[in-house]
Amino acid sequence: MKKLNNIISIFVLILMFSGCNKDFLDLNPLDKVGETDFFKSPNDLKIYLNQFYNFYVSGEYGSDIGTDNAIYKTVSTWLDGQNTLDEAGSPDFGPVRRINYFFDNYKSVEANANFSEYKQYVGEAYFFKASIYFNLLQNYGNIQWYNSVLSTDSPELYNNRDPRNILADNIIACLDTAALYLTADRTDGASRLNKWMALHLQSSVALYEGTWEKYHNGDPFGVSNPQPDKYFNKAVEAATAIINSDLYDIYSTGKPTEDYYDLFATLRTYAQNSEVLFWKEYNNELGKGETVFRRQRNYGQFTPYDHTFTKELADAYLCTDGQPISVSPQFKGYGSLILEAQNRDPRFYQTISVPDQPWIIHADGSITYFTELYDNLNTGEAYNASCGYCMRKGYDAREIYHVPQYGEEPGIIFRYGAVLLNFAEAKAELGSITQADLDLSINKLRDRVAMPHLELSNITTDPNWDFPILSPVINEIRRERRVELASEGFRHMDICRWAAADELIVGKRPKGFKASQLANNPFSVDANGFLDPYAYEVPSGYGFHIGRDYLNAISKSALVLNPNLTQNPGWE
Amino acid sequence: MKKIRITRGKIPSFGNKCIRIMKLTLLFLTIGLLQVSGSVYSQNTKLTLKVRDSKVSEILDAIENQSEFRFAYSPGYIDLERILSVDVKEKTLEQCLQIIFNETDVKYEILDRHILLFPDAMDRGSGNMVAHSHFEISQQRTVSGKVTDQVDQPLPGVSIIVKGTIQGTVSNADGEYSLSNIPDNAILVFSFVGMRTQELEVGDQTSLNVKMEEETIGLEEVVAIGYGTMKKANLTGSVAAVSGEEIENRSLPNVGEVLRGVSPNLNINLTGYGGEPGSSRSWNIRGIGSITGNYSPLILVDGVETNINQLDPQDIESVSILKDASASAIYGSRAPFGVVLITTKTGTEGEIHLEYNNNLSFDRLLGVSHMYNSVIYATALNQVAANSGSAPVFSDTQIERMKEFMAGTLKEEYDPNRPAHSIWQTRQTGNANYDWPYEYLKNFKFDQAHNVNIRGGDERNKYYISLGYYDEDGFYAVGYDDYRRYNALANFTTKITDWLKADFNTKYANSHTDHPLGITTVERRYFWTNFYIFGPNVAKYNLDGSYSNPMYRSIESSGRDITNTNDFLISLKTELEPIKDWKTNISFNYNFIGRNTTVNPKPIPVVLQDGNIGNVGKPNTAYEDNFDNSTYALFNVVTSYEKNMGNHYFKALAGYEQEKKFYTWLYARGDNLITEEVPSISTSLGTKTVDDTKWEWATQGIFGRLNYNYKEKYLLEFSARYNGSSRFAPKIRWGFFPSGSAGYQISKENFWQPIESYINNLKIRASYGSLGNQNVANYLYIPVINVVNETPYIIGGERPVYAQTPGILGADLTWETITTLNFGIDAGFLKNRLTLSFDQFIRKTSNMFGPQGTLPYTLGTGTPKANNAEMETKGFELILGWKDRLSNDFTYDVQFNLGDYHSTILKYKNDNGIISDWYVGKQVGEIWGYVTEGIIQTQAQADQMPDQTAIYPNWGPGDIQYKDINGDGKITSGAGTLTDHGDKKIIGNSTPRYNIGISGGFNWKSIDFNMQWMGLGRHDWFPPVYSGTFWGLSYTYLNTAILKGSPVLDYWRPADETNMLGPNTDAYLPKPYGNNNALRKNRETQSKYLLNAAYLRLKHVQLGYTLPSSITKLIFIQTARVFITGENLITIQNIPRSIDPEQAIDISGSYTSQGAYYPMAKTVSIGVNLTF
Repeated sequence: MKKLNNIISIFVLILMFSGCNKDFLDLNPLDKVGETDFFKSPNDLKIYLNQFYNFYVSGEYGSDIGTDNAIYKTVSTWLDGQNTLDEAGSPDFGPVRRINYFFDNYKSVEANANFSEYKQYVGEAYFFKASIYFNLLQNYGNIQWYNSVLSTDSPELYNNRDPRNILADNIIACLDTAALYLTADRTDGASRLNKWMALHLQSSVALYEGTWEKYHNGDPFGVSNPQPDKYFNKAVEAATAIINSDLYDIYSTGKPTEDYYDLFATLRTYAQNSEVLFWKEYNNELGKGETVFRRQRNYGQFTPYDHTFTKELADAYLCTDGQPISVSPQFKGYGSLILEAQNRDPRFYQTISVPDQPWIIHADGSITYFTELYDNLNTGEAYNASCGYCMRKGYDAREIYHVPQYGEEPGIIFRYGAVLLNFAEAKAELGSITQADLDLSINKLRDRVAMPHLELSNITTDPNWDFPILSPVINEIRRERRVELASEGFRHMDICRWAAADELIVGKRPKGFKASQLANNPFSVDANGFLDPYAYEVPSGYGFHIGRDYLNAISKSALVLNPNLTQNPGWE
Repeated sequence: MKKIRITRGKIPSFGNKCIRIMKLTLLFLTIGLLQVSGSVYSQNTKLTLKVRDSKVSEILDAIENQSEFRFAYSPGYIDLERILSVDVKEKTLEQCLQIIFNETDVKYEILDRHILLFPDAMDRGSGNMVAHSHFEISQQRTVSGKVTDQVDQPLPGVSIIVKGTIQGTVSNADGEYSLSNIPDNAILVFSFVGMRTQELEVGDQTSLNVKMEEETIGLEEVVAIGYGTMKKANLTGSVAAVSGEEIENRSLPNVGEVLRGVSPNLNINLTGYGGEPGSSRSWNIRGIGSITGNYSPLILVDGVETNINQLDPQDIESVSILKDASASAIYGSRAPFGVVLITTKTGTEGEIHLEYNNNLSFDRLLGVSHMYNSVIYATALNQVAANSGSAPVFSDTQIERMKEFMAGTLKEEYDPNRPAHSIWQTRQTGNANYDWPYEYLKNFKFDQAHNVNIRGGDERNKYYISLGYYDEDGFYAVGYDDYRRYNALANFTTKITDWLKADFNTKYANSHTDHPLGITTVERRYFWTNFYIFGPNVAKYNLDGSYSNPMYRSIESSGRDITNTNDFLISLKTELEPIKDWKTNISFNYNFIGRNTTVNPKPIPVVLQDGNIGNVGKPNTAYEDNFDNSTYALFNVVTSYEKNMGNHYFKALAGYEQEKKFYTWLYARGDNLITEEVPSISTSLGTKTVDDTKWEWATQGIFGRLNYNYKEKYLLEFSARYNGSSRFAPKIRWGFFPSGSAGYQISKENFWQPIESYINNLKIRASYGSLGNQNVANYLYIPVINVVNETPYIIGGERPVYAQTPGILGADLTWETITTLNFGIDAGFLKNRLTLSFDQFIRKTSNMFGPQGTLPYTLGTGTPKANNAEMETKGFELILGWKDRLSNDFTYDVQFNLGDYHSTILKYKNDNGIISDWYVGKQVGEIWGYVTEGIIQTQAQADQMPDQTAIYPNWGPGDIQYKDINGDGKITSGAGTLTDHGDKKIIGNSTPRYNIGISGGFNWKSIDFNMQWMGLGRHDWFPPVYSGTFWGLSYTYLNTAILKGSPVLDYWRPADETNMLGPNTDAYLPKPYGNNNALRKNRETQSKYLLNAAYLRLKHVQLGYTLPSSITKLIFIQTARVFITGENLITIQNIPRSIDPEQAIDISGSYTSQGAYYPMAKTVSIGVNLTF
């Protein structure tokens, strides 16, 4: 009987044990907060928006590779019209959804805070939204615009694209709002966004759309009712606001042969720099060697590794008399790179390395000159620069900073120089540019490098202008832009918005300097003795498709999934 | 050879075979000698015995130890526990026995070295029954006969008992016996260890000759099933059993590696860490079970889910693999894809045994390719560049230097006038010639395993205690890596009262892995690709003698990734049996795994050729400390009752189970250490970062099972589980999973008699059941905002936390349901010498997680999951075995396993039939590609062929011509949909097909041998575009590997080629290019390079020798066996030798596209098994 009692009590215990556990399976996350617990305070908004800062990973010089400014050893598939529909991806709408999620939810903070406490973050969100869409606009042209997060059964998923000018208007409107809400303080440029960054972006977007509508008018990429001037005016307005703020200026210490180079190569912070609006900090201790913090500006290499500027870029530099090389008596010809660089816009040798410049400044102060590099040029992969011109802009010769992969050089995202160029170009496109406008913009850039001013009334005709049908001032402003912003990643976008591939790309091949300078040259040479590295691969010049390659293709599967969606021109 | 006693013992398990047969052999040997030498030995041998207060059994042992005498008796008839003291000197055996058995009823008979002991009442020879007078004299009769074995040799020592009495006898040396005074209708039971017990009715016979047959292995075997055990003969589900002996003495790091290939469709594959010391294995049973969820089987050790890598394989008593739904249904949602039940050894009644096993293994690299020399390397790479019109990678001067270096006329490994200025530039500047993989790696390493265990017990208490040690070295020749594991296991069983039993089991494992950290920002798995793609020309030394190659420095001096794991499991189990056959088991199990991983990233200075110092490590020193704990508690109570009613057998089982797992991880990091020598958080001066992760899950369930059989002929089983999981929303978290199975033992029918001698056993069985799959992420139904430490962007001089956007949730998400229909046949032919087991199954995964249809990109996130997909897996398993005994000395066996499965999607929301996605009718693993027409030889051919510009604009000689399947004159992939797939079609399937296992062995006298092969019958594999082990050449030297054994140099070269490789228009590979897109155009997935990666590998071979006890007894060892084992010694493969078929194939979701992983080892090991 005792035995039975024991057994019964054990069973009772077990039943109690399991009976007590009604909530045994109700387990909630232990290290994440529920959706409804978030967006309660301005700080929540701030934390949410932090994810978007990484949208800007920028400041890598050399990003004009694959344009008429600079090339790599292999032919750019874009320039040669080799991109194929099979490889096309779908537009990435992840960031669109993520930013719209903010707009759908941030208002719940109203209950706990005044607008003034969080308007900065709303401003940031508008900025990021604009920036996300501007990126899509540049890659795909017109695309669907959404104001809130879609669900799996939203009919909007199947929208066709919105016209690109609507998109551009929306982006510009977002930036207006952003400028309104963001702090107007100058800030150090590497913390949270400010009003001036929004205006900088706005001037770029407006100029982009204005030139696009103007120069693609009538081609398959154009819009039905182009209003370029509307955008030019907006670009001018945004740029003017920055200029008039008096918060920014061109970086100059009065050393025309060094300042431009220093701005990109040797400065270790831009916190107090007058020119830099927005920049990215690299810090190895904070970065911990993580991939996104790997920094090797100009490939972190001493040697070019097949990255090279083209003769086309080099030829764009004026002589110190302000005349183009085609006419200037100061031009010393192509006999050697040293000769070529003589009497040129000082930005020439602050951008392109020339043999008599320091290549390596050793820790002990001794200097190895670029001669060493040029003597070995094109004798093997590391020393290959198929056009001859090696890059110097953004390259710090001081050996102590040659830390492969772990450079800590800050990266410029927005700088005042670009604002001035946007301003001048928009003004010129409007046809309302004055000498005062030029003095306010282009000539400021020229002052830094002690170049003669561009005078509206006295523009030398260059028989080699890229755009002979356009006005001289537009040609010169575009030259200034090419020279000033060389290797900063603007060229690709500029070619597209100017619809300039027919002038600059199609049927053309990049050339290099005189091959005779090289002891040993494995590359093709053209009839005039210039390096012609792509002679074999693109014998008849780049095969860029004017009716197609200004925009990316959308993947075939995206078209299947959304029958309302149309393909970009030329990709059908 | 001491235990040749005729003991009743437990039913021997399958794996005891080797040892048992060995024992028999020795017995026969002894008897054989006896017949030759007469009975001289017993009279001439003098014994000296001096024991105090010892058991009879111990005294008998002592005699055996100093002589060749062997005792045979049936325990239970002889009182072995009697304590006495003996002190004799130089006495004959007979004199000794008189002393030992003085005043007892034990009689003895000396047959030379063989001594039979029997109780007086059994009066050997006449078998006269004296003591049991309840048998009437009038019924007295005598039966006599001869007992022989299968090959008609007389079998002495067979115990013959009259059933239901203790009356009996033992057969003599000639196998003869005689029993008198036996009742009418008596049944005689003939039993002998290793032979099948036979019961024969005497009837009115006076002479009864018996031929004993070797035990039919397997049928009487008891195998572990869910919450219990069952006779294998009565199984109705698909259960495979492996005994501990089959997997003992393998020189292998973990149980996964040991069980590879032992059972069809039990697939155990390498992971991305390949054969790295301490790496784990991925498991599945019957292939892919779900396209999104986890489909690994539930692995239970003694009923508890356990980290299988932490178990010492030597402690395994048996393994059961439950493959179908009916077998695993009782585990409900825990085990949708089968169960692996591992039972560890427990104590045994009887004397205490101390056992020591070891294994010392010498390992060689398996499947690591050698490099071609640097001149070939440079020539090929230059040609690749030239094919794209690029400048040569290596100048003529440099190639000249390579030649001189190889000729020995140049000592410098690079041109001092053109030193490398950066760490990676050594790849261009070098003119050396090294076979790099064999510089980084050593060709020999040494591993060792040791195990000591004690096993024993009496009627009430039994115990098994084991200590194990395993130490595995890595293959790095510079630097090192290491894996060590210590195991302790103790299993105690106590019978508290006759109705209450308690088990107390503890397992403890400590493992330690120590690896180099890796290269700069990537982890160490990238070493393996880099070992191949740093060309042979790379200099090893700088002119100043320092190391030049950054890879070399990286392995040598990177920080360490050290993990220490403590895994402690405690189980308390009680079994109550208040009424006979009503058993209730209550068990509580608690598993605590504590793990600590530390890494100390740091700069790795590399002396550059220009004298500067580069860094191939991290920018700064730092120290990271990770602690994670998981606690797992499992409680269950199971009650069962079984009843035999005549021919009807019933068993009912019901139970309750709950489990809960809690995981927590704490991370801390300190940057900028004061000194690298003392890495700790405290000694860091810089930023300190802290983070954590926590989660938990729980399940609850009730379950039951009913078994019924009629005469073990008609077998029925039903089981079900009602199961809930915390991973699903409250309203849909409970599921009911039933199953049923039936078996029919046809060979037990009377009508079977005529053919029984051919087919002595035939059972057919069928099962059907469904299970849930809860193997999905936690909290799937709860929308959360994940807040993450440290944005990947510096904002205002810091990296603040950031919040992530939640994805779209599928709120109604519930179980995937896995339904399996299984048919099986088990058959034995020719007295079970030939056995066959065949299972065929259809497994349907319904309510499978699929997206709510692939949606346009405008959604901006992954489509949420829904239970809307369905998949079907079909396959079979075949086991064919043969075993036989050719003579008393020689037995052998072979077994052939074959398994196969393939899966098809039955439902999936993909309305547009996009082929890169899942779609209805898609075979899992299907490979879409072009059909290769051939290699273009002339430009004219290229101009005339169908337009391939959709792939690439330019085509010419040496390029691939694809076949225009749809005849539209263009080669395209169409819209990539089922209705428009252009010229692509299904050219193969990457599902590994026909997994093969072949095992075999023999025992001859004291020698035993066994081997095991495993392989695949078919496996379509298309080499990844940048695979260094197949294509070799890439568009840049940065991922080019030119390896011997790969087809790399058999690429197309024009007829007028002048480089040292010469023309090769009849090439296997197309022309390579130094331009990525041009390179890829010839490497589109296509029929020509779709390889069949089938292989057959000798996984294991072992030769053992048991030393004669006359030698071993001198050093107080009962049995001593030495063995030599080989692992992975022979591989037969179809793909190029540069690709290891297991490595390149088994690793799913390949970590890098290069196909290079930490190699496995080709191993030869020696070891001993000693029992004291």
